[in-house]
Amino acid sequence: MNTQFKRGVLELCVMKVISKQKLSAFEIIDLISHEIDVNENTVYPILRRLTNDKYFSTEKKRGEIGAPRKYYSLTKKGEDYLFELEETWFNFINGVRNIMEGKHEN
Amino acid sequence: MKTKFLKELKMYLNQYDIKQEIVKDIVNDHKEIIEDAVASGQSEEEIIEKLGNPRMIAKELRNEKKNRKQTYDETFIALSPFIAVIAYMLMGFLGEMWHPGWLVFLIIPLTGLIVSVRRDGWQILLTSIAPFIAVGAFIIMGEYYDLWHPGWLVFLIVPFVGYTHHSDYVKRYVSMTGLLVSVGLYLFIILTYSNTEQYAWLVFLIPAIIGIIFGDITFVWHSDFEETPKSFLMIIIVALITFIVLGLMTSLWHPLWLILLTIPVGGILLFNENTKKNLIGISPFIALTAFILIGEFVGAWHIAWLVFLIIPMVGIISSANEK
Repeated sequence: MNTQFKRGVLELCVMKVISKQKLSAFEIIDLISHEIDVNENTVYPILRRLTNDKYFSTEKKRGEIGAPRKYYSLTKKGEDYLFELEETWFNFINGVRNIMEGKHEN
Repeated sequence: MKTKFLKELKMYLNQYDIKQEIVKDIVNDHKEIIEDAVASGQSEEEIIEKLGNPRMIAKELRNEKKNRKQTYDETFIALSPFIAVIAYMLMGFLGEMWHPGWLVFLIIPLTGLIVSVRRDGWQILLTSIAPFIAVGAFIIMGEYYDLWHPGWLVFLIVPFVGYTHHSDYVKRYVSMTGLLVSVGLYLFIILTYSNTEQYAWLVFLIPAIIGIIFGDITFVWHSDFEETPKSFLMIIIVALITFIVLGLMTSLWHPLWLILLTIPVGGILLFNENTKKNLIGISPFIALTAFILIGEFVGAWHIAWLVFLIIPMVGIISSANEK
């Protein structure tokens, strides 16, 4: 799959998993890697960029074991952005499906 | 595996001129991720594969350098060569102070250093500027009071300030006291008894022995990353010994003190893995050495200052290559 395309999709996936609950970087990577092959696309830079762009906020929280970890959550700005991305994504895949299934208008 | 990954990540991040505190944060985040993965039953190899190639991670993160506080800091650094040249010209033409007026050029590397380390605390700041304070004090003492010898003792403030970083309270104060006692003894011997210089330096074996006992001085001749601080201490010691021995043999304390510039140059080369940054960092010292040699041996102080233009030139060329 095209790297740029995959990176865009990965960004959407990262935002979506964080929208459900506060997660640590490892939990995010682990959740996504169960569904998508992530080794060619680094998830961490996406996390960092979206945090710098204020789509995510972070807080240090103590987990069940070990030292306190950084947990990511979606900000209000992030929620709005995710809504936009989801809308674009669903329009896109609906269009692709229509074309693939021959339902497109001539 | 984890250590290798983190080390490589740090190395690649440093190549992209990302601020040290951001590099530290990124490396720490990756350390946490790997530790969490291992705690949840995954192998280090497994999670490292998911994290991706350190080079790719660094490449994608390089834009973070835009987050550096560029505005005032970088303007200040960029202006410093011009301020230095203007001050130098004024002192030269109005006061015939070409030498040691050239000392104003030290504000160029000094500005860069102060700006880059000021947020790391006063101790780091003091350690970074100590070589410059020493050079300035040494030149002024030598030029105006002909105290090239024993004025060179002022360079010992560099290891002295360095000792303030010792985390161990006892080691810190024993090392500092050892250095002060040896300086006191040295001065006492050479000022009380004539022709004792060739033996008096032996008192500096006191701080050397203390350093060896405390493990500050080890005889390591390879520059492994972990060994960097010790290698730096070796550079300081070798430079000081060379300077003292050649000084005592030839009495040419000036310009032999240029040997001591290997200390800040060595520090820059050892502590910084970024080649471009290294070039920018050492350019003031290359310029200074060329300037002193041209001024001293050709007597052309008034035009020798032109060599200082290599500093902004190296900076501009390095920045252009980066874009």
